[in-house]
Amino acid sequence: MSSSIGRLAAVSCLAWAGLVVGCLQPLKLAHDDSAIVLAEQRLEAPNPAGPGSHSVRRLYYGHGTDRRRAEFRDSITITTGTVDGTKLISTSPENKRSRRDYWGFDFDSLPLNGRIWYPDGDGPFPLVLMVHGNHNMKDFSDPGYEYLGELLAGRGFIAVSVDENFLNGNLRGENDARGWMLLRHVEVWTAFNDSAGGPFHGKVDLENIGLIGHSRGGEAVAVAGLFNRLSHYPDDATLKFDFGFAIRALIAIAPIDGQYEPANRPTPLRDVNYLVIHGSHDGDVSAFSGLRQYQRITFGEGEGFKSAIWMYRANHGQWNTVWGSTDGGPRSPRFLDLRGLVSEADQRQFAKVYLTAFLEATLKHRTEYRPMFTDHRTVGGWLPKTMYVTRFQDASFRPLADFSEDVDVTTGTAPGVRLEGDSLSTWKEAVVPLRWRDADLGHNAVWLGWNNRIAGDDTTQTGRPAAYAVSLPDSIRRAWGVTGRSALILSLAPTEAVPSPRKAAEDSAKGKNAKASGDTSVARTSPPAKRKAEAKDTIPLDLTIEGTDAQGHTARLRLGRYGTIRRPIEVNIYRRKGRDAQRLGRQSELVLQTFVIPLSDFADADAGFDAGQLSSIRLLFDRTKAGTVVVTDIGLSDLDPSFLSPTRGSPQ
Amino acid sequence: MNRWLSLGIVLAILAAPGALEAQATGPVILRLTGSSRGPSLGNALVAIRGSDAVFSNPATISLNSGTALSVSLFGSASTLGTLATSTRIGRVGLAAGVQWLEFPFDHTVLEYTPGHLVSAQGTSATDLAAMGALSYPIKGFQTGVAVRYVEERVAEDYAGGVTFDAGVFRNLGNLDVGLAVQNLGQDLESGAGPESPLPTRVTLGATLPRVLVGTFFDLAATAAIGWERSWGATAGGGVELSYLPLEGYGFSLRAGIRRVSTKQDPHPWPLAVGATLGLDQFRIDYGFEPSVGGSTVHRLGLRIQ
Repeated sequence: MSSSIGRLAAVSCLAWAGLVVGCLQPLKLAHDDSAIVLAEQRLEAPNPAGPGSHSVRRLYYGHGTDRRRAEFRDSITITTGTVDGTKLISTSPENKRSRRDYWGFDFDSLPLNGRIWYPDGDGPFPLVLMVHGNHNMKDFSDPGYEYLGELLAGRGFIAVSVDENFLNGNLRGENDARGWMLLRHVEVWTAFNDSAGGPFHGKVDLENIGLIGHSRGGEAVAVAGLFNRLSHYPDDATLKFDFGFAIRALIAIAPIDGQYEPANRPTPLRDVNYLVIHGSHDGDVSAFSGLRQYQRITFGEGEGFKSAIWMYRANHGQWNTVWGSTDGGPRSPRFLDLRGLVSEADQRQFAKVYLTAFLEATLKHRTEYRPMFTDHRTVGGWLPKTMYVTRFQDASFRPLADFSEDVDVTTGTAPGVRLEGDSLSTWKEAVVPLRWRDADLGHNAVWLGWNNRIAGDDTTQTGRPAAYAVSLPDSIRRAWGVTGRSALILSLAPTEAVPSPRKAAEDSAKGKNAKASGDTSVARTSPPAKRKAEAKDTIPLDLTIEGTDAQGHTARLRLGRYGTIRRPIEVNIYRRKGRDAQRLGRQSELVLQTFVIPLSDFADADAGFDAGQLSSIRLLFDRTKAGTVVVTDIGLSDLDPSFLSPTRGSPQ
Repeated sequence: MNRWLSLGIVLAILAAPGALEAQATGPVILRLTGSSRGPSLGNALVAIRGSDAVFSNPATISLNSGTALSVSLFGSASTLGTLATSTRIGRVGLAAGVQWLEFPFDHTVLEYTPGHLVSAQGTSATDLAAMGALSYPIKGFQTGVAVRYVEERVAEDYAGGVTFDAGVFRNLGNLDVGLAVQNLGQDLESGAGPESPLPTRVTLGATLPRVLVGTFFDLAATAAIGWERSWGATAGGGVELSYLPLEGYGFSLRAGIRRVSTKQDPHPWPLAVGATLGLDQFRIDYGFEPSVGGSTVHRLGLRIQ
């Protein structure tokens, strides 16, 4: 009896010990290259995160009857009305009732409440509205942007944190209402500016308005940007719009995309400056879904740009001081690996640097901060030391190949543009996936895989480097006015895939042509072999960009000079092993880095090269023996030189 | 409508006790909890979510799909086995449950109670209860009904019949509230005894499903009051402290206390304790309660969610 009890006790102890050990999950972080990548501060300008020259004043406006918000009831300086949002919000009668019981008002009388930080001065000052996203509606989110409000006001902006807590909680599909509310707030500000005797009379620069939104608020600013130019609400035209404000800048912080779709279509946006930022360790919106909106921003004639920055080890909530590190609520430490996050101070420092610089660039038209939106390495001294990826496109960008126009892999986006692969193991076009399972960017790219090694016992034998060429016809060159001031822009990211060595023979991609021309130097690749589990390639990947002019002069540049080429970074948002792959579908986010290459640099590399006669661009995979890259948005831009990095590193 | 019907049933039962108070009820399996967590939560299960909810409140069966099985050892004399499973199809919850009891039947006892199960004297007897339940939400309330076939076999004697349960449940923010009426039906003839009424009971309870008491700890509490034919007023409650160090892993300790009717003889202990080990969708429950005469009751359960 005693021995059986002993055995039972031993088994129990082992079981408990096993469970306890199972609870101990090691912290997994990727190798951080920031010590090298961010080693320099190339941009010579005042740090945009530094305090401005204005002293900061604060006040509140609101309806004045708020049951839950003392500041919007007892401390308001300016009284505002309410707006009727019933056409934009729908929920069950029961939910409606319980929300009314809590807030004391219904969707037909939504208050226009805001907390203002503003500069002490005559102005006029650009207006920046900030709006939170979804969170526990009883844990008020709007005070969480005070750090931005103070900073912006000190630097000469009127900053407003808009109260939309009454749209938080258990509502769905309400992001149209969130965006519409922002526009109703801008309406209020036009009245403030016109109100003689009021504190903001004549002080608001209504020609330069910016909107910042976080999470659902991040989608809401895009919706506001769209509604601002519409005459009717797309989902119920009995609601007329009459906005037309001079909204010049939209900033989305870790936004969701597609929660609201006007007329069941993704929100289109045109001719507005757009910045989206997202953290790798976002425990709420766990994929960089704001890139979808980024891809949908288009430009006509005129100025403007869009940029997207991905920040490693940043989460969803630390952009807001109320939300903090616990993206999944107070029980987050049980399932989210909070140990991997950058500090709250660092995450907000990044926001201060980039958001302020963007607003300075777009609302105050200051050009000195522009390079940081094309290449984050220019501001290594201002950024917290972690890893970043930057996307960029300006209004003058014209795509040679964005891979979304048809299914012919040999034709580009612009008429007459030809695409050609040479000795490639992988050449396919597909939609760019997001980290979420079955979700994508709504935008295509080309996958290019190569292995320059020849299969066989001799592991040193290599064929000629694989290449991918984009040829542009004279007509495009003339029509676009390509000159030495133009820039080649492309976005690229490596994947983990490494094709097998190629067979010594013909080219798989242009084999027919090679045979016809008698070219036996090209290689044909062996079929993809079943790969055993092996150590990941950690050698930095690089490649050469080769430009050729109409006279046949070629010039080569190292792509890594223009940005960081980083293999996919494995991200573990969840503490428990395997949860990321199980819940999200992918262990890493495929975020393509944009490379901006002035054509003048080709001319600098080869004196005979005539940038104005550019006839083809080749991606030459000569610096890394084997690998796969995803490339999209290859095009040319008449980029203002102020966007270019002051120094661009070594050409070779 | 169902609310009024339920209320009517409750009132009818509450009006009855005077006439029935002195009578013996049976069979004993209808007085036993079907959950291995039951006694360590003071038998206050009427507002508890779980795959074994079919035994306590049919209204809650759709709130947790899964399967639960348990074995209870009443000293070395009696063994109770239970199996319950529940699922949801659309808004409809469906559940089935079986309880099986082997125990020594003492013919000298007028009213058999759980306290008798630990004594090892008497004729070998078995009780069986098999039930099916259905739930549906109506105007914010979960409502449910269950039908149970119950039989008792003592030696060559056999008695059987059908009983009914009904319940309502509602979540009120952080609080779950449940009301159940159980063991409705015609009097049954006990295996070896005279015809006796069912141990009809009505229970009203509330549960605080989980309160954060630290980064890795949750506290749950439950309490219920009621009335049970022949025993009169009942009351009980329990608390459960859970340590949840990592998603999917859970360690819980429970303690429960219940009012024991003075009409129960022998008198079981009012206190019980329990523990749960959780890994993903699996929960292993253990319950311990001292009983009469130095005997103990051990309960072991497995829940699969």
